[in-house]
Amino acid sequence: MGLSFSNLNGEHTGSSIGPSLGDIPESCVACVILHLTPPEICNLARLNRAFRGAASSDSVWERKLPSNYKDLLDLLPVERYRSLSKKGVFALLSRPIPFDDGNKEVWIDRVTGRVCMAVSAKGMAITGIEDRRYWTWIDTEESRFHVVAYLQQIWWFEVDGAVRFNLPPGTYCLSFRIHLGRFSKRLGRRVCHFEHTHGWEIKPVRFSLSTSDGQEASCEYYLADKEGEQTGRESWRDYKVGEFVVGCSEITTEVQWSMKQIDCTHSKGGICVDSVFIIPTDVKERNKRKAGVK
Amino acid sequence: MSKKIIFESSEGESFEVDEAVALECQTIKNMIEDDCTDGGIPLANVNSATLTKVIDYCKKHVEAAAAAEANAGDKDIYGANKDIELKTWDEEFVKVDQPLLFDLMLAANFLIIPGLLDLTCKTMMRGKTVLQIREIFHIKKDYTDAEEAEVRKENAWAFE
Repeated sequence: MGLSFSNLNGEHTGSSIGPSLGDIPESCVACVILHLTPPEICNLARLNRAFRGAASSDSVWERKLPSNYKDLLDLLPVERYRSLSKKGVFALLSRPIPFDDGNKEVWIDRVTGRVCMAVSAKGMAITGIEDRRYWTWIDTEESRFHVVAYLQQIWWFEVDGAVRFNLPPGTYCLSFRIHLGRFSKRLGRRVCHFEHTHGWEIKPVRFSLSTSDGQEASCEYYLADKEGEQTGRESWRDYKVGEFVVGCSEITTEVQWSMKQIDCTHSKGGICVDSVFIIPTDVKERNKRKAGVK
Repeated sequence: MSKKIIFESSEGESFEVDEAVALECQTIKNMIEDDCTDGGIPLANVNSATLTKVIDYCKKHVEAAAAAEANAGDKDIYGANKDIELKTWDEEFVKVDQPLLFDLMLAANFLIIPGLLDLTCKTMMRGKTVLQIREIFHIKKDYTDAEEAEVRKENAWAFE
């Protein structure tokens, strides 16, 4: 691995007290480190000087970076990564990188090194968006893009989007982040307003996705219960549209998605649309488990 | 009857295993191919407790491979479950105290058993705190306070 693991124990103490890391063959130390997650590797750096070196080595971090990391770097000015080590590159890419006029973001998950993506409502085609009687933009800190689309009311509800990107092979989950009603801060407290919220209990909204290689998925959700039930309405909700698989042979994947409720016999409104997330399925499941523990 | 191979631990204890089991170790495989296994193979740096575990591991993996082959036809319904079963077995297998885990890793490295080496390396530090690792491996901190603060800052991004 081209690393020096000599003297990993710091000052050498007698070896009679049981195993010490200095006794591990170099190839094993490399293997031990490679099996750890990036946060665990960063933790190792805190052990001592030798570990700090081993836990910063390019050969370790190269293996933690996704296969397409150079494509991610291409989205940034060269000065920001030219002099960075592989670990520095990983750290840089673990923070969201905006692209397509800042309406899309891509980043790598810190634990798995997998590629995640988010697309703002600003970067999607929303029917009637230019007419303020229907839609308005609301600035908010609750969105990673700092703005969400708010629908007052409309008959033809349709939000479409697409992204073309070189995603590493794997299974990805696509979901919409939506909030029923609108929200504001009053005296430091978050308050929800549902005065425009209507119509979502009559017919379900249809969500669908398709990919350039012919995969399709769709599903339907009622965004509100029949009785206008208030539970869970005061927060953002993730509506899973479906999953798609990126194989090893694809260079660029194009994914298209849409959210529709176009039965024009009734109007609907009072909803915020934030973004679409494209997250590797295993990362999503882990995040969900973590949220469940909280 | 399959051919038997005899291992001898560092304590001089003999262990008789099927050749198929011994072949899981790349080092032994080379010796068998070179025909120099008659009269037993002395393993001066592997003790009996470790050797017993190593043999358990190899046996299990030989059996699992044979079962997988026999069921190759209906892999979808059976193969996937078998994989999970073997993974669970592996996880249980390495639930041992740290010195034995350490010895297993060294034995796997010496005998060249890639699966076991991988498994032990994976288990070695995973899920352990800095404090625990320091204790288990007797690692002395050689940082000054300033250096420690710097290291902390340098790695803060990973814990945001």
